[in-house]
Amino acid sequence: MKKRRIYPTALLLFGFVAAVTLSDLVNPVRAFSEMENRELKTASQFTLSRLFKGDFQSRYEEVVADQFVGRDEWITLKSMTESALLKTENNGVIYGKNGALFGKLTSYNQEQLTKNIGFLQQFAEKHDNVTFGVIPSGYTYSTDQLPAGSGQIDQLPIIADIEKSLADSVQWFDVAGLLTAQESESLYYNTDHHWKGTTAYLAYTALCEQLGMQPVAEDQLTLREVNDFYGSYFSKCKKAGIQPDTLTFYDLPFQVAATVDGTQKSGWYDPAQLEKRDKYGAFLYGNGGLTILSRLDRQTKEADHETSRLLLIKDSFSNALAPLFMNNFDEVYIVDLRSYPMGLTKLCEETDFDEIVVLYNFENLESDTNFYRILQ
Amino acid sequence: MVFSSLLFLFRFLPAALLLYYLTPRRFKNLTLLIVSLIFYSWGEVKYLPIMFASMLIDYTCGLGIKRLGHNPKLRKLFLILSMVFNLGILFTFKYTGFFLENIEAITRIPMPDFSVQLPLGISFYTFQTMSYTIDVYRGDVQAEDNIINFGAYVVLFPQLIAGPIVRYSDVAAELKKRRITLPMIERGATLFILGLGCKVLIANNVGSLWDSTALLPLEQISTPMAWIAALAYSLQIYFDFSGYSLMAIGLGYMLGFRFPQNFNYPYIAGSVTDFWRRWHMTLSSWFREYVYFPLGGSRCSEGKRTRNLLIVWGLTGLWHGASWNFVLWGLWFFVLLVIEKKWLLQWYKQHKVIAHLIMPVILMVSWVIFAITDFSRLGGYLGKMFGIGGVVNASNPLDWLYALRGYGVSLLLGIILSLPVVKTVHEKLAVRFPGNKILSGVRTVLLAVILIISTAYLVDSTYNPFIYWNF
Repeated sequence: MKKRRIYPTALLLFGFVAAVTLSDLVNPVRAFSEMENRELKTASQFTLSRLFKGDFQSRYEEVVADQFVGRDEWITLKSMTESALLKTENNGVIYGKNGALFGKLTSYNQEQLTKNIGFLQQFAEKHDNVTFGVIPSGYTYSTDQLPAGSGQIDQLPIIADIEKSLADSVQWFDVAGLLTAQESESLYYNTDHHWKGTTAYLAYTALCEQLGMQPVAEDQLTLREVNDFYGSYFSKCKKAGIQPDTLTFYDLPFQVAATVDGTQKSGWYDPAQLEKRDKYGAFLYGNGGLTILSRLDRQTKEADHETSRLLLIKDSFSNALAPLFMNNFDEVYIVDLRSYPMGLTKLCEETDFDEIVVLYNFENLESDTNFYRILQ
Repeated sequence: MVFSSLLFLFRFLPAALLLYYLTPRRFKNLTLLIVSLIFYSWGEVKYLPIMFASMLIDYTCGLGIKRLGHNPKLRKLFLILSMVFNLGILFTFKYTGFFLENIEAITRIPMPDFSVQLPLGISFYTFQTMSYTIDVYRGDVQAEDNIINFGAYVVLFPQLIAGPIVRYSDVAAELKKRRITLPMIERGATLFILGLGCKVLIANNVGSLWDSTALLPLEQISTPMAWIAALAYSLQIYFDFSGYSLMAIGLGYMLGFRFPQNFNYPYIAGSVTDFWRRWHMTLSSWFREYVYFPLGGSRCSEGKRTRNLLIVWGLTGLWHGASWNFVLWGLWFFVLLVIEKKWLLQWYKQHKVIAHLIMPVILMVSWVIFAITDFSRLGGYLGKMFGIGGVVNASNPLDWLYALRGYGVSLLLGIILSLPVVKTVHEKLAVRFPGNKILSGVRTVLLAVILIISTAYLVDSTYNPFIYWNF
């Protein structure tokens, strides 16, 4: 009898392509990816004009990629392969010693930084109560964990230069000095670019003292811990085998009402979001343009000028910090210039602020192209 | 559409192959024509008329030349018409902007801005169709009477966008009659998977090292770093391009065609002359056949021979892109080849070890000239490589160490696979243990791993540039 030959590679290729294609075609549509923390493309609308312009095709390709069967598992497999290749970074995240993750920053935008500092100066000239601080990125305090030759820029001398360049109209809040003086090495999350709730509290106390106020004692607050926090660095690099962080923040001993861009919320954070992947996004419900926090346990004062108010112009680092000031002010106004295009000047005219604090992470300050809105 | 995409692998390929295999033999070319047109026009429906014009004009010219065998003038007229059309569309789309820029630079008269998207594969298929009319004119092949067969050749999707440059004579017989056998499909599948791995797993991986270095200011690159990045680019361009050619050849086998080999371990070359017999072989042979030989080749006076080489290498450089650095790159090879022909080849033969050590250096320098379009940056970078303007990167003295830590394994893998090591070992084992089940089992498992991990990289790919596709 004639022996039948088999053709393993043809079988492999055709079998694999057919199996993946068929299971992909029957794979149910997903609208959101928890892993990537973003909406997925679900359909490409077909019209002749979209076909001729190529919009239909490019969108269709995005849909195929976004809806691909087992997308998250494929991505995990890739990151495992990268680990096997002993890669030291992926997608802008550097792998440090002992499983530490850091954002890669080998250059910065000096031009934008100078511009933004200029806008801040102009803003401070119009107000007599502006305090400004720059928060260094996490790797600044873990340089011994950075791999040799990674070329990360040293933010501290640049921040010192910013301080020197400021006119007297701006009160300098020295975040870098405060954090350098700490002995703890874990001031920032490992898998996320933000500082921990406990570190935000440190900054809060220092800022209170600088503003001549009494900070609330730590024992009057309840420290909350949420496990399994995989932050932004992890989402970017998806490195296999990284331990999740524990998200920390302080619950306040009184009830707070929040208004985010005009929408009423109960409480300053979103408990539902703490269950999801992007846990840091629970604080202040993300980065709304104008968020107003007020205490429910206090009567609205009859005369407006009796209400004490803080204006905090910030990036997401302060989302963990701002609520603590509810211990010291009746109302805290929080402005994120990235989603507040117009109206800061009007807001300052209409509302009486006892203090104005501008607090930015260095990387946001040197790259943010929306900072000019501080004058709008 | 590129082969290394989810869309191709899990939509186009299964649909196209299924249709193709189910089509009765005499309609197979029609199916091939239709699926290839879909492949071609996927990204650019607006360029479909150019493709149809190409088919019609070259088809008509071929027939014209054939039917007018008695009238040399008219035959020549058809040949010229085809050349003018093909070179005309190539020039219009690829070189007009570059041409106008240079006119403006010389005359200081402002010229209109001309930037259009290059039609997919135009550099490749214009060369392919020109080979057809020239060969018909020379009487080397029969003109194709069937426009469907001819159209299928022009737009044949495996070789449409990045070579190999398949001459009509290479596939004329198979276009009319071909057998698709299981051993051919087996071979095609193997080559396709290997090519996919080369492109997705090696080229893209080491490519990001070059890309990140290319973004740095020169003072932030140390001399060792400049060499490591040049090595990364040399491996990237090889695995990118040869991987793509392998996929094309593999697809060809699956459809019943035997396309010519395009790469033969170019980095083991013992001379630049040898390198160009191993790198993009179908392009070199195209220029040899249709430019160098007609000019007189090397069977003429030394002065003329040098002139011929100059023309061929100037054109080869320009073919790779509308920018002066490509011309410089071509001329650099011209100089090297002339020197080798006159003095060095003999010497290389007697000093093989030295030749094999010099060659990587020459080739890395060549690829740097190829990669950097801006002349002042190019000069600065080459200076860096040879220690002019400082060896050390003061802001980060260990930049090279960091690069080696992150990319060492990938680079090493690339170096090993660009040498015929695996091939030799595999062949030796196959001879020693013919029909061994373990050997073929290991082989299949390896291919499966390559296929699966490539898919993982494609899904993840935020990073999937294809370098050669604008040529």
